[in-house]
Amino acid sequence: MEPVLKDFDLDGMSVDQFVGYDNQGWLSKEPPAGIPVPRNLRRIADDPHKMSTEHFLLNVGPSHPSTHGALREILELNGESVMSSEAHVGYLHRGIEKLCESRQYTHLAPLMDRADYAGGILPETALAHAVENLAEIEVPERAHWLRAIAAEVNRIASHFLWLGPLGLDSGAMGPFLYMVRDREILQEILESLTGQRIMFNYVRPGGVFGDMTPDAEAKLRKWLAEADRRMDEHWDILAASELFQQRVKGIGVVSKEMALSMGATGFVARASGIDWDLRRDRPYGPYSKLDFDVKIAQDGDIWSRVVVRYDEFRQSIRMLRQLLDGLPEGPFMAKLPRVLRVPKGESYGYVEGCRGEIGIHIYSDGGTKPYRVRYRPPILYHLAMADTLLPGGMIADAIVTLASFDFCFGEVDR
Amino acid sequence: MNPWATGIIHTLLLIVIMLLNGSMIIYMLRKVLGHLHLRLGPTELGPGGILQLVPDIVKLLVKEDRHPGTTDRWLYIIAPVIVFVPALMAYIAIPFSDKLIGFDVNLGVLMLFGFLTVIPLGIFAAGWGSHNKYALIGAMRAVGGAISYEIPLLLSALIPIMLAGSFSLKAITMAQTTSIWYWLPAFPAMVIFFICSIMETNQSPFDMSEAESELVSGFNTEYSAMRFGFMYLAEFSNNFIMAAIMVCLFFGGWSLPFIDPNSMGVFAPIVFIIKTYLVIFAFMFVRGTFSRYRVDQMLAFGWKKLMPIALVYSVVVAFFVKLISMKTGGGL
Amino acid sequence: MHVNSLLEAAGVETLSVEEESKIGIVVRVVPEQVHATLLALRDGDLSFEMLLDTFGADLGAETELPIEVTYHLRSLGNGIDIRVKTCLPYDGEYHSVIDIFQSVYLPERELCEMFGLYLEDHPNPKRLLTNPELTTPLRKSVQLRSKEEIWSRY
Repeated sequence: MEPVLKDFDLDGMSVDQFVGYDNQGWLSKEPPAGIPVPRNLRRIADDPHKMSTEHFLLNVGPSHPSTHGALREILELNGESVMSSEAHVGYLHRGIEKLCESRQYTHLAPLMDRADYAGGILPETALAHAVENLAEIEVPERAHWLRAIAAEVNRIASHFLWLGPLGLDSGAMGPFLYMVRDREILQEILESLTGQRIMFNYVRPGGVFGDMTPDAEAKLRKWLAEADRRMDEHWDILAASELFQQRVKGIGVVSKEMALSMGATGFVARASGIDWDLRRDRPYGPYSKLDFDVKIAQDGDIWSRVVVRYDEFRQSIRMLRQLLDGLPEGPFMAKLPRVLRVPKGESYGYVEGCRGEIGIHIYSDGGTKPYRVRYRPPILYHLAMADTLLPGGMIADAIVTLASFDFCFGEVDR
Repeated sequence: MNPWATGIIHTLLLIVIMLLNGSMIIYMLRKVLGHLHLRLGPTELGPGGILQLVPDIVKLLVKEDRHPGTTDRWLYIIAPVIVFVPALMAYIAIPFSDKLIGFDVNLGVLMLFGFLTVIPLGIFAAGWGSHNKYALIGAMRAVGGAISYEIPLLLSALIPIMLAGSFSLKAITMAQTTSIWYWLPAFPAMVIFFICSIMETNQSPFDMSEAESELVSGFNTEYSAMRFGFMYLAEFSNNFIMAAIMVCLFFGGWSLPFIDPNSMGVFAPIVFIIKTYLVIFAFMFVRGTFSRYRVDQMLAFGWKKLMPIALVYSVVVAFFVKLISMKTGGGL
Repeated sequence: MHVNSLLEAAGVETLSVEEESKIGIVVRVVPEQVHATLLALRDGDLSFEMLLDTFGADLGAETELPIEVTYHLRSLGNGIDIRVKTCLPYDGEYHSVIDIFQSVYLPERELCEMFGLYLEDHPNPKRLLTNPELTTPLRKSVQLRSKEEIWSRY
């Protein structure tokens, strides 16, 4: 029993995926009449004979150069226009929430890494916040600052991994390699700091795993010295290009009402006019002492998201300079017993993740292993928005819209 | 000599030129795009990676030629041929020098454009015959784009023809040696011709027919091995032909500014080829820099912007040519 | 408490409204009152306009209503978070709240698939993340395979 592949026929014209959903008894088949279905959320037709004969189904399948990770979108196309779309996910489901119930609290960090694999420090920080909140652990000041340094470096690296493929999907192959060059430098910095390039296992409940090394600090300062010039260069080669702007302006518009009712957080909410940033409004760690701006855009289209993210780059660079200069002395890990025992209760730990608000809700029964860990994936809510945004545009718009939400399927599927 | 023998020798010579050209362009493409993308391109085999082409060709030759069982067999087989043969035939009318020309046709430009128009038909046959929705979408886009960009292409090519007074490429080139090169009086026409050639050769920013990030390789998704090699080679020779036409129409062919064109001898083809490759370099530079157009934006650009400009400018140039010919009592 | 008066004014009968120390305000209701509660919270003057998360937990087979469903709401203007909790039986019916908040479109599918609930009133009631062979993974009765079992498979 290896539940890796779905049992759907992957040929887009197969009838099996419409007739009778996998009715295992406890998922009902028909939506009853009279329920107000939200606008544009309609199912693809049950009976293919009832569909209009000029529409055809395109399976933008799980392995495709442009679905970032394993996303299967079934697009109903009328020539080049998308009539309706449906997203199938679950290709990367590893049962992280179930696995968390069998590990001790200090061993949960690698699982959180693999959930959001592009920015691994941030879910680990959320988990650490949740556990520290519940067990009332006092974290030393230096640990908070080190967590913030690693988090901001990771945020910039993750944003590069979003911006390069956005350029690729809109046709410009060049900027991707410029972003990869910068991301390599940041990954080397993180490797000097944490020992790993991508799955860090660095932030533990109670502090961090290792101290700041002089090598990491030197590399980071060297990069920060020319970071602004590099960001200007990235702006010039991708976002300032008229063709790119023509591709992304006015496309994939998320209105403020849609963002609120769909549960969008992070940069998607800020691009639609919602003024909320967890680092500023509910500060954790050193963020209350740092000086940074939060950019809000009003339009909600892809261009606003690009602009908001570019500004996040610059603010992260600004924060990194302040963090490096103000790093306090002291221990980097609290004194904890080897096997951490957490009192009974529930708690919620949150961070402003790369893609939105990552919230980890822990139920504890007083033992050494958590009873239930819930990872709130910010992108799951953005994916639901994608299903309402794609109809009405063209295939090219669909690809660029999906790329602009910064999907990371480790989070959606967990 | 027996005309059959000369014909066969000419054909073989043209095939050799096509293959040499293909290999040169592949190498140039990889190096130029590599350096634009902050990487080096091939460096291992041969000095500076020149011999990288050899394993590529060998790979294409020995690869297994599989095709899905549901393809439309005849269309699938004949599509690479339709794409390849016009690209080979078009080498006939290109003047490498005043003596080295395959056949000096009176209507050289028209014949060349006639050949090049057949290529979108081959692309559509490839897309339809593949029985693959991605290929179909790519093929439809290619045909739509090619058709709508041929009109500005022909209109902008009409301007040097009017200025020179002849359709033959050799005559246009010789006419440019007595006056200035036509890129200056026909500057908008040159720009429009450049843009339309990028479309006709299916390159970025107009490469939506083989958009690698949207449609997984577009119309040649189902092609592998030497069929794919045919279409790839046809694309490169198309590149060369469009660049060669542009050089002949606007940049004076094989001639250099202050030298008597008839006395250039063996340097003429060398100058011609260098100029052509400079134009191809410009194509590649544009290819590596810009994003891709969306289909409807591309069609709108072709119909609403390029065609009116080309039309108006050709009327203006016709007016001036008539004016000057009436004044001087003869052609330019 | 303001939330208490808000809910009473809307005519919602709650089981309890408490302020827990670690997670804030928690409102417990019976499943039939969930719809009215969420509507009252969204439209009341505290205006909880965002539903951040919908998830469940299996409290063990000894409890009478073992599956606890939590809705996490946030009011951006006031900066308050509130959690609404209900309890459902195994294989019970779960009525979707998608007509109030559209953000539950995918999480409800995952919730019902992971815990084994009948999903009603939903426009697309399919499973989200797993295969049909993997039934209700997050229930406590489903055990993880031990290391020995995995190693002895081949």
